[in-house]
Amino acid sequence: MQSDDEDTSLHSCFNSLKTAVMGCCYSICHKDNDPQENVINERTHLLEVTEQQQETLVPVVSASTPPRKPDEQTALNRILHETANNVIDVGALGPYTLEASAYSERVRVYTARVAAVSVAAPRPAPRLLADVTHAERVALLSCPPLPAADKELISGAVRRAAAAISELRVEHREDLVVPFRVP
Amino acid sequence: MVDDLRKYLNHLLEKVNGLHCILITDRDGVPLVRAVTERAPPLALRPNFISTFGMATDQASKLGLGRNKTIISMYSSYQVVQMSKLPLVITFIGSDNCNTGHILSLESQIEPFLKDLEVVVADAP
Repeated sequence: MQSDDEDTSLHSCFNSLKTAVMGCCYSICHKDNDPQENVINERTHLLEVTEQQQETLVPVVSASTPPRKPDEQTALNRILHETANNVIDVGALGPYTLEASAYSERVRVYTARVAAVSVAAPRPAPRLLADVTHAERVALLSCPPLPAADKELISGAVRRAAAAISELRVEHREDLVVPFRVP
Repeated sequence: MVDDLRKYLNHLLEKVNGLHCILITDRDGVPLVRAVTERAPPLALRPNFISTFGMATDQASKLGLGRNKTIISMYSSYQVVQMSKLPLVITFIGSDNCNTGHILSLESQIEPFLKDLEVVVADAP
C-alpha cells in the first residue's frame, strides 16, 4: 500500500518535471509570442539581423552559380590586385637583369637625350676661403718679404696692445644685486 | 650641358671624404650621368647590382612603415647609399668609414636638377 503511494507521488513528480522542461524548451524555440522579446538578455543577438535580410540570404546561398555582375567582378579583381601588391612574395623575387642588347640600346638613347636636354646644373656655392690661381700664387710668393722695420712696428704694436689688455681690471664700485625695500 | 652636370657631381664627390662615386640611373640601373673615381668597385657599378634596389624598395614599402625612400647597405669595405627618386635612382658608393650623414646631405644638392633628367627616362625603350 505504501509502495503504491510512493509510486503515485513519484509519477506525479515526474509528470510535473516533464511539463516544466517541455514548457521551457517551447519557450526557447517558440519566440513569437514572447512578451520579453525586446528585452536585452543573454540570448539577444549581438549583431542585429533583420528578418528581411535573413530571408534574402537564403536564396543567395542556395543558388549554385549566380551570374556575377560586372561591378562585382571588377571589385573582386581590384581586391585580388591589391592583395597581390601587398604581399611580399620572396619566392617570386628573382634576380632581374636587363638583356645586353636592351641595355646598350637604352644607354644609347639616354646618352642622346641627356646631351639634348638642358639641365641647369646648380653652381657650387662660393667657398669662404677660395683658392687663388697658380699665376697669382706664384706672383704672391715671389714678392719681396716684409721689411724688418714694418715687422718691428707690427710686433711692438701688438705687444703694447697685449700689455694694455692684461692691465685691464674690474674695479668694484657698487653692488650689482640691490635689495628692494619690500615691506 | 651634361658636362656641367658631371662637373658638378665631381665637385660633390670631392667634398665628401671617402666617397667613390655618384650614379644617377634609371630603375633598371642604366646610367644617365655618373661621376666615378678609380677607387669605386666595378662590380657595384653593374646594372644588375643597382637594379636590385628597385625591387628592394618596393618590398620594403610593404612593411607597414610607409614608403621606403633610402636604403643604406654597409659592407666590410664599402657602403652603398641608394635613394629612390622614381623614375630615377641615385646611388652613392663610398668607403666603409665615409661619413654617411654627409652622403645623405648631398640629396638636397642633387635634387634640383632631377626634374630635368626625368624627361630623359620617359618612354624609355
